[in-house]
Amino acid sequence: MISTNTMKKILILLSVCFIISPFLGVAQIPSKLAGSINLDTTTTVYYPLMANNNTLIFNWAINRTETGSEGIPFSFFKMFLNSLTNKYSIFVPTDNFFTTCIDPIAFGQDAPQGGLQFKYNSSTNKVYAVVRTFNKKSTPYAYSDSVNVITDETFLQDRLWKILDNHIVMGDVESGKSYFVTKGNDLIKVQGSGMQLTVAGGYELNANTPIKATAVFRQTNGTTYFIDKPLQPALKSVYKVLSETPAFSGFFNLLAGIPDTCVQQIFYPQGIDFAVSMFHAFRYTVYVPTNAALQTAIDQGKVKTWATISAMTNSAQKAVEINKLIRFLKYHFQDEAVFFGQQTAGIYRSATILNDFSNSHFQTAKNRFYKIGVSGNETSMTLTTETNQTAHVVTTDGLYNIIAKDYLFSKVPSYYKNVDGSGASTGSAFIGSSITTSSSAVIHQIDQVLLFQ
Amino acid sequence: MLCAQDTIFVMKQGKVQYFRALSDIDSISFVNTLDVRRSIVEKVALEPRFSLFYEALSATGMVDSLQMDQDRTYNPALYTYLISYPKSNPSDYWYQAVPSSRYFRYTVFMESNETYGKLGIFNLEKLKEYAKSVYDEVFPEDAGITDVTDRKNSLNRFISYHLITKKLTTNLLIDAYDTDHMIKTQDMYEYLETMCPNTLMEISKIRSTNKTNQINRSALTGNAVQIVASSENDPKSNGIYHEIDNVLVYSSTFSTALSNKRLRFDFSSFFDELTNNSMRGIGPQTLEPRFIIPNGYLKRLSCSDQATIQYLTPFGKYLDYQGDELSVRANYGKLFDISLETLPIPAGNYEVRLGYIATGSNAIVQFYMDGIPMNGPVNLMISGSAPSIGNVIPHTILNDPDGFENDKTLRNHSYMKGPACFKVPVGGFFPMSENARFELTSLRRIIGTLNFQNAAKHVLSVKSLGGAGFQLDYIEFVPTSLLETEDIY
Repeated sequence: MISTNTMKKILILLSVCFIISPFLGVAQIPSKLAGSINLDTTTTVYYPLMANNNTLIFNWAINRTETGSEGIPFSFFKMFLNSLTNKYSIFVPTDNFFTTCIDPIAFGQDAPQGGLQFKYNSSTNKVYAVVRTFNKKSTPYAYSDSVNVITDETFLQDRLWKILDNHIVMGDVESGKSYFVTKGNDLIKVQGSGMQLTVAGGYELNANTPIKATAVFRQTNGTTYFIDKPLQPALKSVYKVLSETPAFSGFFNLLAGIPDTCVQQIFYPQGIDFAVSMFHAFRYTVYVPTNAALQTAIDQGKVKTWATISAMTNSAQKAVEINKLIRFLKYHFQDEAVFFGQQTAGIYRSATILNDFSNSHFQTAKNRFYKIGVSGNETSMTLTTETNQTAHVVTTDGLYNIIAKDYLFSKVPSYYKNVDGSGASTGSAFIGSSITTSSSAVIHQIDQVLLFQ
Repeated sequence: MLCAQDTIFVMKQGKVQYFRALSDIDSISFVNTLDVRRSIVEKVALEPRFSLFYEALSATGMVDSLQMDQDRTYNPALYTYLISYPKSNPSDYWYQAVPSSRYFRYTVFMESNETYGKLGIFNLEKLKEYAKSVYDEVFPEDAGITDVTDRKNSLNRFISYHLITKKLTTNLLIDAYDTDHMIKTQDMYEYLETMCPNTLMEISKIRSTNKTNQINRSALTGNAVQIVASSENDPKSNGIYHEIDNVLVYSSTFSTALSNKRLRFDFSSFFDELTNNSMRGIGPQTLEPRFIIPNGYLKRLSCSDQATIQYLTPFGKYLDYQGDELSVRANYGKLFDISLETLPIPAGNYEVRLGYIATGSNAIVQFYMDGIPMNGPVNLMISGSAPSIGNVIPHTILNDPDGFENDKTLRNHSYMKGPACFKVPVGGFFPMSENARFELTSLRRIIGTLNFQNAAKHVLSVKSLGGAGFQLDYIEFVPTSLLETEDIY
């Protein structure tokens, strides 16, 4: 008969072996194995970072607690990662590789922009952030020496929880796909497997600087990857991508040209610059017709320009046309991110509502949203519209799989002083800033406009 | 020591009067005859008008399924220590109690001989033929079973479909749950599990025609089986019967209709014990009783010892479907783990949703259906307006006045607003609003999409990972084919 205590010792021993054996990189024995161990957690994806002295920053963030109204403290991330009934992939930048993360709120401010290098203070057992500045107009970004140190725990928790959210994927990232959505709705690209695995956030994809795995732990509820740099989400919003890409100018001008008097705007000032009003903490796809396709639709009378509508004298007719054009534009925004280059087949909701009983190809009901059919493989992606017409993703200019991110901050960046303390005297302290949520989008150029009627 | 393989024999003067395998027996009760308790079977047997039904009830052996009276092993005195706020010393507007009894009760729906006669059914053989014509179509795989005592035999199914393990007066069929919480323009539906395995009976209340207790009503024709008379609600009887005006069957037409509609169940409807022991259906009270449910009291629900289940009877200030809820509370700092069996759900693809109120006194939970984890852990404490849920009150966004775009956002996050079929009738805890759709905290969590190969009962398990508890208010099974056209009610 094995006593409970003996059994615990055996399980601890087994768990040590379990962690070491799949360790494919530099041999590191977790250094916290001594002392009491919660047996429930030893085989979960949380354990490798809990038991390592080089992952103290993430561990600090994971262990931050909230308190329910009945006064019971809890740590959601810890419970989440220790859930044995689910499969996770978690990317953990080790403390020695915790390089400067560009802060999105600081990035949205006037110069200088700022980055935060999170560090762990072993004396206080707390995390702090070293602030470095740079100028986003001169690339590659050259960071200054430390200009400030932030120790405010609410601020640090806000930023690190968002970073954590974007380093966790529900499921296996070695399943054969390339693109994945993180818990925080970030879009990341994964290539290779095991110690040959690389991962890239939106920023790394743009810069073509994928991040490497330095250690891999196969755990009961998924895999923990130690990586050599934090994943950096895209810093460009949909607005930014569309506005600075000449090949998107026709579509962008229609999006940005909605009359100011109109309640329905596609873009509104939020996040780093502007955010898409139909985005709500999710992942989306934006289809941008080529300028030529758009012009053809205009020439054929399928789409009116703002100039044409503006010139209309019948105000009732004008209002109808404004609404019609906005609905046309919104039909190019789709729920769920679908990527070119991998097997895809699905029907997705657009942002245009069907508000009558008209028939449509996908039999969309009243007060539901017109849909877009998407089918794709390694070499093509075809869209089917509610009019049963097709459009295709254009790859010739490389304008596909462009990842953008729209943030929602508690206040717009200009509300705060700059990250280094400079800026308007009326501005609030930067440490009071917080990221409310964010959405991601993948943008593809297509060869036809999308019509729902 | 008895074991399941043993058989019980009841002897009289050396002759076997009755025998049954112990495995077929739930409990054995010794009834004091001086108490003049009477089985519903006796009432049925004494009515010549229902002789054909009774003949079939006896022939199928289903008569034996209506005999239980009381679980005499249940002793409420063992649980009174759980009461912190007795009626004599209530906490504000409510007090606690434990169920005073654990009665077994029945309802029998019956056709008279005259009603059968209209279909040319004058004897048991004709009734068998009729049952076969109906049930062989629904269950063709069992068409060859001729033993009428076999639960899959058509006559057995026919009779079983008339039997319910709750004592349901005409008021308790559906009207008792039409509290002030319910929007009086929206039809109501109540589902009863019958003794015919894995079948439901539907009771509806149709507002437009002001008709209640419509049994298995066809939405296409408006035809329904209706009650024409009922037996006296004798408190000393273990049941009640209702005479119905047409032959009641679980037809293929009704079966198909049932598997193509949203099935919303108030959780309290799952538990016979709440109805049979004067807890569910008592209506709003000035001083609201909260029944502490001992573990094991509800046949369909099991709960870890570290938690307490309470049945909160309808109260005006609660924003609950039908006004009531079951509350699951973990003991301070402990975790809870509950499992409950649903009523039978027809085969099909369903989106499963749980209705709840988002409050800081909830828990982080993991849902399972039939042992399969449903996505990741869910923090039920998160406020409805939090970005990860995104609920916005309708009429507050200029370009989305009815909240349909907001509905899409919530669905993307695996949530829905509360349905527009109930409201909070009395202010105090919630803002008085049009209906639950207008309350930020009233949410439906989409647990997952499941394919059920056969009509069957399913097990919903909820394990807490931290936090205090949550409510079991209502659960929905919505065919995925309906999602595109589903209404807001």
